Amino acid sequence: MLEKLKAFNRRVAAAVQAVLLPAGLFSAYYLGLGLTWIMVRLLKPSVLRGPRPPDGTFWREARDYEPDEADCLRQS
Amino acid sequence: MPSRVLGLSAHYHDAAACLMQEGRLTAAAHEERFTRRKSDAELPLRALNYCLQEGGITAPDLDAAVFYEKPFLKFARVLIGHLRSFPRSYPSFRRALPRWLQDRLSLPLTLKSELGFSGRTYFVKHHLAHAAAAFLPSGFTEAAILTADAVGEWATLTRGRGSGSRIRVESEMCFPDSLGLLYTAVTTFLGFAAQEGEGTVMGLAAYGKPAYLDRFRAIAAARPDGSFALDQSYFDFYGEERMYTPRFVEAFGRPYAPKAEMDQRACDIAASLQALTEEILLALARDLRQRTKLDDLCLGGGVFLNCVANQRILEESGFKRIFVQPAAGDAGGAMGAAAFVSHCLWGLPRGGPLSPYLGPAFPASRCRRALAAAGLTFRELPEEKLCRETAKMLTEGLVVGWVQGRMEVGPRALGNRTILGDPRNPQMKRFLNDRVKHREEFRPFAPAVLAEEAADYFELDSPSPFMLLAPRVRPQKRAAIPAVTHEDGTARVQTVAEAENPRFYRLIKAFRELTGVPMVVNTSFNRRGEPIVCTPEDAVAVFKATAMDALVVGEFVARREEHA
Repeated sequence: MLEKLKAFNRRVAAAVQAVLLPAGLFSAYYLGLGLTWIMVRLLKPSVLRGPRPPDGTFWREARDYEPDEADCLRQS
Repeated sequence: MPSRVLGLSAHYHDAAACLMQEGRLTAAAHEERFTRRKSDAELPLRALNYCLQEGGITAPDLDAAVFYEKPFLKFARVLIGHLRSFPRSYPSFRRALPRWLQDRLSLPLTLKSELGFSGRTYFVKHHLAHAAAAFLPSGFTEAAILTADAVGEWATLTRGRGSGSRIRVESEMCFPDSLGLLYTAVTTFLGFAAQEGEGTVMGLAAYGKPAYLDRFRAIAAARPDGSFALDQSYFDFYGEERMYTPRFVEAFGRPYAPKAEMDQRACDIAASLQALTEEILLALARDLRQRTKLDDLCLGGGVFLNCVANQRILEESGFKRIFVQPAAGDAGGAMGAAAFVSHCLWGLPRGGPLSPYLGPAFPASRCRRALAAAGLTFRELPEEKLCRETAKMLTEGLVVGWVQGRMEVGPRALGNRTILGDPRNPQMKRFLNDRVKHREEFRPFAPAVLAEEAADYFELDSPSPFMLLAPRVRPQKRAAIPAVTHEDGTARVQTVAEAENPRFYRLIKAFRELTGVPMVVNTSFNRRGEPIVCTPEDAVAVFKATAMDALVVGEFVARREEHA
């Protein structure tokens, strides 16, 4: 009986996920990212182009490549 | 003092784990070898459990775990990338976001729940991990470092230098200007799988002429220092199905379907891409040599699995020696991250030369059981006789599967999970491609040659123990070894020294005694689309599914005719 209930719950959860996940992703993309895109285009279009490298080369100065232990503990 | 660190790479392709103890690499393996899913990108739980077992420890005994990139930085790049290609990037966003939110941003929690490990988890930048993987095991006290791959967090290429246990990355190029992504995009254009078919494209290049080089040069505008920018109107790195745009198709013609016949246009495109890659890498290396004035160069990142480009860098960049580690791609990132923590953070001394034999070995009882369970008739032979008999089989034109000792780390089989053949046999290449490996007929095969005799056959004056150089075969020797001489007269050589792999060395020596030729054909023990075999059972399964003639597992020899 308990197993049947668990299986039923799993099916319900999967069905809810199948509906909510695409809807959530659709909203996150078109509302979240879309609005951000519009604002960035209006206010700071350079973000969409990426940083401009120095003249004559496409190399950029590398930063944060000599981390200490505290730096290494961070995920960012 | 802390000394045990577990290195991990995962979530892009080719996940791997390694264990360093007291500054020494004691185990390393790709997850795909255990799960049997090619380039498996999932968190490498089986590989890391193997590493712990090999090291004789459990997860709570670890002082730290280290991941080969900074997940939050990479996630930020993924989001900004999707923003830049809005609204085309929705299909990619829909696929990527759940994966990121599910487990990629919570590695410490996953390690705790899956392993019971609750110690420190470090995160090392992706290209720093590649730089560490290239320099720290190189044996050089001071060297220039160049890394190149598809993309890490943001960086796609870095340059710098290493000295003692210090690594300085001085400059970087960033996404989307990526040599690795360019190579992968063209690989998919030619109908091969991303992250798998790049080596095939390199092989295909030998059959073409660089007729499209100018078009590629226009797409990748390079400066004299080798730095370049990709014209993004040709690429869609967040596209659902293709990494290239209609403009790329306009420039190069219709794309190739998977498994399509490779015509002259495909060969010329491959040759042009390879020529551009070599041109850029050479310019980068020459510029780095001028800046650093150093004699030694360490190369890291998946781009340097390109042995043809490596050979040109060695010959033409001005550096006297180069070092490319056997797992130069992302799997090696796990080793680099662990080495960085061991040597650069904890100050443990750098160890001796790197051995690629870091995977699992299996006892004789397991080998015997696997052969018996498959119904094979087999004999057990002492080593000397085993090598002699295997060499004799090769001289008879037989193809032999050879499984010995610890499995290799990296994408190349280096004599322990290997299919062997006779390099003198002109039919060997066709037979191996067609009947054993089930792959394209143009794919070349590599020689494993006695280190001390390599220079007699190849224009090579430095060792190539990891099969990452492709020297020219000496013209007078080409006819003698047709099975391993590629269309352009080069060969992807593995030099075998007795100290590095004694049994494999003795086998080649035995072949030399019978034939006068100090090498064998060496190709990875797998079938198309499958990872290299790991266990004796995997080897038996491939043996039974292909036209291989004999199988040598440990001290046991099974011949097909004996159980036919």
